Amino acid sequence: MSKDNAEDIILEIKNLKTHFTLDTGIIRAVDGVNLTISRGKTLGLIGESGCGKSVTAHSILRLIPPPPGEIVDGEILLHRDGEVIDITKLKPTEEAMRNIRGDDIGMIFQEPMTSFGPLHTIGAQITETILIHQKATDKGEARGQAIELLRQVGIPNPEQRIDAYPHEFSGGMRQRAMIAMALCCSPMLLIADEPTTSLDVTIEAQILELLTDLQAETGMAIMLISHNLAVVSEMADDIAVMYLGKRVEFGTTDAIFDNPLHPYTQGLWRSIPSVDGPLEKLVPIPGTVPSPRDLPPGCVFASRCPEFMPGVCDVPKAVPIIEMEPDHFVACYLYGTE
Amino acid sequence: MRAFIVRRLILIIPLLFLISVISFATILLPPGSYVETYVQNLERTGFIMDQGQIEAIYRQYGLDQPAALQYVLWMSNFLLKGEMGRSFMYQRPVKDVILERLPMSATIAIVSLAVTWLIAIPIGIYSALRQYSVGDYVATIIGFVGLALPNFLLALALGYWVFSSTGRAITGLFSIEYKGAPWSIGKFADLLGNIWLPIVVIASAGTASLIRILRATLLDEKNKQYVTTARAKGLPERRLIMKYPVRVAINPLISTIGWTLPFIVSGEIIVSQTLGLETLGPVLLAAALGEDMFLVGSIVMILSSLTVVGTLLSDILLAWLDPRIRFERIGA
Repeated sequence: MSKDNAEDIILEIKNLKTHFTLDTGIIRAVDGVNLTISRGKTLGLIGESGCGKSVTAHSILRLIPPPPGEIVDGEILLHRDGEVIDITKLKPTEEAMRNIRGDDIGMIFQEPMTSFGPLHTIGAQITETILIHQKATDKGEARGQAIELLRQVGIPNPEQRIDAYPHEFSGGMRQRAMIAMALCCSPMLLIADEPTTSLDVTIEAQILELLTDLQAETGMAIMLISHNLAVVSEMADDIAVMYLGKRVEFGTTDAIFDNPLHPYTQGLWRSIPSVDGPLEKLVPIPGTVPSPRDLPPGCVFASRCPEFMPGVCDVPKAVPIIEMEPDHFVACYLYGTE
Repeated sequence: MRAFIVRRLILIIPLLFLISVISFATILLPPGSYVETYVQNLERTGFIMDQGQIEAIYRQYGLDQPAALQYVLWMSNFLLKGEMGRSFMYQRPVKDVILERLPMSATIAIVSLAVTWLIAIPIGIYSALRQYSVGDYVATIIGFVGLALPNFLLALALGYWVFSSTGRAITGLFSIEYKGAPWSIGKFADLLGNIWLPIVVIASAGTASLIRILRATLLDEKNKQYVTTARAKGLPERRLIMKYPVRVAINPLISTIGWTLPFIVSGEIIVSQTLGLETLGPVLLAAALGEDMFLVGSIVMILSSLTVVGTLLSDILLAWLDPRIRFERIGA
């Protein structure tokens, strides 16, 4: 990361904690996460379901529904035009926050089937976004822009399809339209929350290629959230591995793949087949993810860790984050205690 | 859209025919007839009709003909001249009896419907957006009370309360001095002083159920992905709620318009009976009790046909509002 210039940084997340207070206890969905995203780069966020990937993404746009969700600590710093805005200090409904949503940061979601309102045309929903953020644009121009965007994301016949309703689009087409909508105000950062999870494999490849092409064209940063290691390794420059609300390892894609440090990352690698390596038996990570209501003391991975060290890993204090090689961070006692 | 409407219009023709047949069957259904009741009543007072006179009455109303022919006569008169036979009870054409009552029935029903919607929609939206707030609980309690109270009881209680606190007795839409009087400012003011009571009573029940329906649907819709998408675009909260989930949540209410059309004509029968309102509902009740066949059959036919037409209107409205219902594609 330090190889990037500091002025290229778009978004910094520092010690973010997003908790959900329920009758049955506090769920620490995101508990002290640090991330940095730079211009033109792709950050991959991987981890199992419930590890806090999506909550991190939703926290950035302040889409966590209060109550029960709340950002209890940390900073989300957006670097825009030379100024730094702490998003956690904004009210979710205030204008400054709304101006960031859709304009500086665009987001695409996991469920293309339900992510458009059913009663308005695709075109109306895209032009609406343009009209909110670009006050000088009139309806006709916005429509022209929307048609151009639809063409860019590969929708055939965009002049006609712009007046179609969401249910008239297939899943892949809807996700393309969703990307067009997220990109309509040329955001600095695109958050893609499992953008291809509900699509079939050929469509997945098309969508990912589309994202890569668009990134090359616009120079935007992408935060790609996925549980699919292949997808992330192909797209991302940097990878953050999350487990139970914690960032357990962070580094460049090469470092994370060639030299995984955290036992959880190593476990993830052993549990997927490798295409070019020798044929090996797949080894699942033993045990199940503990309930986030009832986190183990010390390292949250301790209960499933093959390297578990009694008296070290279960000491109830924060696990130190160690920089093992330049820009490769791991939160694990195996690599030292301080 | 046009093809959709035409198809639906063609489909309702056989349905309307069936309704007319069944309505006519109800005319013939009860044992005996109005004529027999009429003759018996006369006999009780000592006046004995001879067979010739009775047959003359039967002939006059076409009752000596076979049923199928009677139906054809009744329907052709209705379709060609708008005549629906003669009411024995009122000794007037059925058409006149109905038309006389229709304006007041429709006024009360439409105003109370409008009141229902105007109250229910904002409260329903509020209840869903502020779920479990004090306001939501208050609306819920009032809603359930409105739902649970029988209308006629509320009508009687309110009528009693008005009488005991102001001395004004609301029995019908006009006070005695204005009944049958020509329209004047005084008569209109008198109407306003009376008509609010049935409107409040009828609206209270409808409001409660509409609030519950809207609240439930909106609670469901407001957490859907497309709402989050709209929020992530930077739409102001109020605008996005009204434009996306509320629009979807209103649709189930639109589909209830179909059932309200017959209600606009007949009015709330029990409330009308309780409060002595000059609407069509009590006429239907009296006609059914008195075996006034043509009147009963005609009203039943009109109400059933209006249900069908109302359902069609609802469907067209829904198709217009909700593109998923239309069977057409753009540029596919």
